[in-house]
Amino acid sequence: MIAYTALLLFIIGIFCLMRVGVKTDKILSVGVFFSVSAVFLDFLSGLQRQSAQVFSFVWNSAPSGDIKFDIVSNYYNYELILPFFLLTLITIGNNAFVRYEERKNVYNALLLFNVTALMMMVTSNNFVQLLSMLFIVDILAAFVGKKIRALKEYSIANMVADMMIFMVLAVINGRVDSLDMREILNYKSTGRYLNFITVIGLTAVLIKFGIFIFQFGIISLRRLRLHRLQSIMFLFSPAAALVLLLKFSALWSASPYFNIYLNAACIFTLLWGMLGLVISSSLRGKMIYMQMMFWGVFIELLRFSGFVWNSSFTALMMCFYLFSSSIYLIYVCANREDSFFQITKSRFCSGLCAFLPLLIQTVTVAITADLLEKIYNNSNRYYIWSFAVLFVLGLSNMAHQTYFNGEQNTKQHRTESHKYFVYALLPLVMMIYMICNINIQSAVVWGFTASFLALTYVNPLTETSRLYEVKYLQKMASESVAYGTAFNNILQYVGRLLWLLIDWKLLEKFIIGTTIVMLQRLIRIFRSIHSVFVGRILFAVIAIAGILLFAEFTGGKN
Amino acid sequence: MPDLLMIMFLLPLIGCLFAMLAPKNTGNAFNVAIFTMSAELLMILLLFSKIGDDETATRHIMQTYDWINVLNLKISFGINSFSLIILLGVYLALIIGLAGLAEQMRKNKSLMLVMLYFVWTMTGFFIADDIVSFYIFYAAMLLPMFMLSGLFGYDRNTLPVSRFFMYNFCGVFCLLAAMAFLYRFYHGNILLENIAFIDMNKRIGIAVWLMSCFAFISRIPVWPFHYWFSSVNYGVKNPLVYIVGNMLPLTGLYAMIRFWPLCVPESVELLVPFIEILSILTMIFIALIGFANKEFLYKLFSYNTVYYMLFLLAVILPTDTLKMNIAYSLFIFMIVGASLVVLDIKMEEKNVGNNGNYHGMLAYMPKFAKVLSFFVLIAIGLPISSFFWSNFVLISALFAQNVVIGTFVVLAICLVATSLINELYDMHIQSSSVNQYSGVTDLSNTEVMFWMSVISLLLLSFFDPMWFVF
Repeated sequence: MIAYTALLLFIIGIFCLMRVGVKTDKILSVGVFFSVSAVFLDFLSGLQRQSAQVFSFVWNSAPSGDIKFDIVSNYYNYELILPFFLLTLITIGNNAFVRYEERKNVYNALLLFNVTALMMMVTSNNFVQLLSMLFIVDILAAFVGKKIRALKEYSIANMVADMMIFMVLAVINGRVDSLDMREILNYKSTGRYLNFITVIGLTAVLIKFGIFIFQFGIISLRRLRLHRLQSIMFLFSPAAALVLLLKFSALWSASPYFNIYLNAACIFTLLWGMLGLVISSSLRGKMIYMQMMFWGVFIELLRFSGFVWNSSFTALMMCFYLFSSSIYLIYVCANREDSFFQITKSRFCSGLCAFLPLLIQTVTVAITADLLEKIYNNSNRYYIWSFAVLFVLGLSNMAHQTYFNGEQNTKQHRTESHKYFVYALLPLVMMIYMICNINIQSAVVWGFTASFLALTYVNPLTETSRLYEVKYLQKMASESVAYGTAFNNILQYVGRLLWLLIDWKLLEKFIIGTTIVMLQRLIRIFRSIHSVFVGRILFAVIAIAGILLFAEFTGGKN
Repeated sequence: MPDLLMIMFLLPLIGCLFAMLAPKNTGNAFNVAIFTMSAELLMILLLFSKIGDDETATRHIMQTYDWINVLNLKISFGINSFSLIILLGVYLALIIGLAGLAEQMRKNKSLMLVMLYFVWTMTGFFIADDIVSFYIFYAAMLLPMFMLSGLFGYDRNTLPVSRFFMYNFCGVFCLLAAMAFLYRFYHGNILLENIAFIDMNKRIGIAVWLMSCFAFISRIPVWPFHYWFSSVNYGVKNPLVYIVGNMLPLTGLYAMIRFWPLCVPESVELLVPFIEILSILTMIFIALIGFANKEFLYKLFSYNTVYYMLFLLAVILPTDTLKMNIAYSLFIFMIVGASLVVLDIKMEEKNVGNNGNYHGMLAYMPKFAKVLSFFVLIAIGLPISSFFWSNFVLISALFAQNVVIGTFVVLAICLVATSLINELYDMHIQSSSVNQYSGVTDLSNTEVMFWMSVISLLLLSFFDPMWFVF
């Protein structure tokens, strides 16, 4: 039962928050890994049972009905939770065996709370539960990121996206007068404001994925440590966005704008991601752009499959996690050098450990090819082929620059090489499992893998390494300036202008100023009237006439 | 049970008496104030235990007292869960304000005296059930407000305060005129809940509703009335004064809730679009100005205004099922607003000599940073307190009524939230220049304990907003 799994993970997470010494922390983190592995195995046994169970209690009540807390355990939810749980387990394993964090268990706790929140999101039947967990995932992401400067734009982007989702759910709740998620189909039948909520909701989801043109939040994360970046990009806001997309696709797809908007966003993301992957000299930047490409393709493939989740998508997610792991391995092999400009100058990566990334990349390309072949059909063929070409080109370019450029570096960082092997061990086990399941006789798989290796050796994009020296391009690739000008500054200017024109000029200077001047003049007039006898008489006559007129028009009519 | 109501009403006056007798320049008056407020809290809990957590918002306890026998004038007091929870929020906000006072201010006997007098008028206002007592307390609270702002609020001149006072005075006169109409032409000192059922002549109806709406809205910072409110809030040095100033819109809003009829008569119907348009314009306008302004206090003002507008829009919806949601939201809103202003003024106190620039300061005060971040997160509506889902229910109702209004409301809320988050991050991000904050002191353990208890109160509300009712 998913409720049971979630509870166990939450308890382990609480346990991880205990304050202990550094050595004990290290030992405990290994214990946590094995505990979570045991829970994972139990979860897998639940996956095979395939019977639906519901854990539910009334949390609170609202005019639109009870706010329920539901955990629905069915096969579909199990399948959808599986990739998040699996990737969390791998991250905890890496954290335990490779030097990731100073306080390993706090990091573990955040990951466990996050996966629990994701489980609650997946299994929710209630708007309030869904929204609460969505916000919690974003709060946890801010804790995982740690580096405040890098998180500012990401947090703001996510908060805006969350408010958009909040708005969409409020519109639905306002119309169907129910907090039950299953009622959204009733909303679909009424059809009012469907386009509006589709565009708003989809924009929110795209912001959370970091899809073009909403990538500024994700791009700002390039200042984070690589493993944190990897975790956030797979397990936090994009994961939450994925759940939202799957939950609301049935409603949104009824709008004609849905497919157009999603398709355009994904195609531009793929192109932009490819461009960024080639241009960016930063390893973190490359990881982010590769991720952009991935989500672009992933969403598009989901669209082709009618937003029905299946094990192929889990495997595809796993593959991309392995790709980003290979980038992390390049990073550690290159003595934690982030600049690809430096990596290409001096060949850090050599030896068995250093070739692990290439091995992972090659095998993952093969698995990806197999998956793409499974998903391939006539309607998506152009998309799949263009993605395949762009992706292999981008990856092979990076691999070539890593392994074939520059001079052999003599000061290699070999002391911790066994740890890197451990780092790759878990993904390797997963890979072996997946290799066993792929169609080894497929020409597509072999063709794809061979092309990747050939392109890695030849590298048709050799000249692109010169772009690393162009400062303007590197600065542009960071794109943080977009947020500053397009969003923050414009709003600030509008605010200042409004204050100046309305508050200061209109209210303070015009209305109040005029009132004061008028009052002064009135006082002067009254003084001058009272200074002469005729004036006093005139004033008294006018006042009496006024009272009489008032009495004439209002008196005795009620 | 009715005696409890009278005791609650009289307690602040008794506190005033004790505070008056306390020696000067000692903390005695402060202790009296704290004790009185705690006793008031206890009374509220006792009343809650009598009423239970009934969510229908009907008046459960009512009592009538003879007042002026010559005129055969009687006054009525009453209370329900709705009024009690708002009153609880008011008391807690004032306690937070008292706790946030500087040492020197705590010894100020006059401040405590005026504060207790204000508490008395507020208590009277929230339990008043007839038009005469309601009007008396509505007008009476202006005096302590004016004294608090003028005498203890600022280092600079008090011109905005006097303007603010004059302007509120106009509102009070309008309400007086409306009440006089009702008293003279319709059954004398009627109960507030019966106003909606009076069958008024159309012209008189328009006049009465127009005047009462003007009186109430003038207290809620709807454009252009917001200008006075911002002038009073801006640059305030005393957290208690800010909190008291921030309660004035609450009284306007509460008055709207008590007056506004569920089935809108023809005479009121005319006003609804104007109120809606003005509220929306104010929200967007103030949210944008708050976004542009660099002062955290101004951002807080902008935040408060936007939420008051949201509550106002919810109040004029033709339904009474939302009343308790408004009360839950207001309860959290009062506490969070008070906590944020106390923390901000504390931060300014610690940052004397840096020209008000406190960017990066929180990096040197980890405990302070955690507490402030928590309150900002609640303020922007994250699911940490009942504020989150109560607002969700209110905004859903607005969307059900009018999608355009709902969209603008969310846009304004989003803007103020972004503005607060932006500021919070700027406070955290260390500047690369010289470390000018190395000497600042973080929160003491006692302060941390205090804030943790406030945070716990808010956290528990997430699970049950009436968790304190047994």
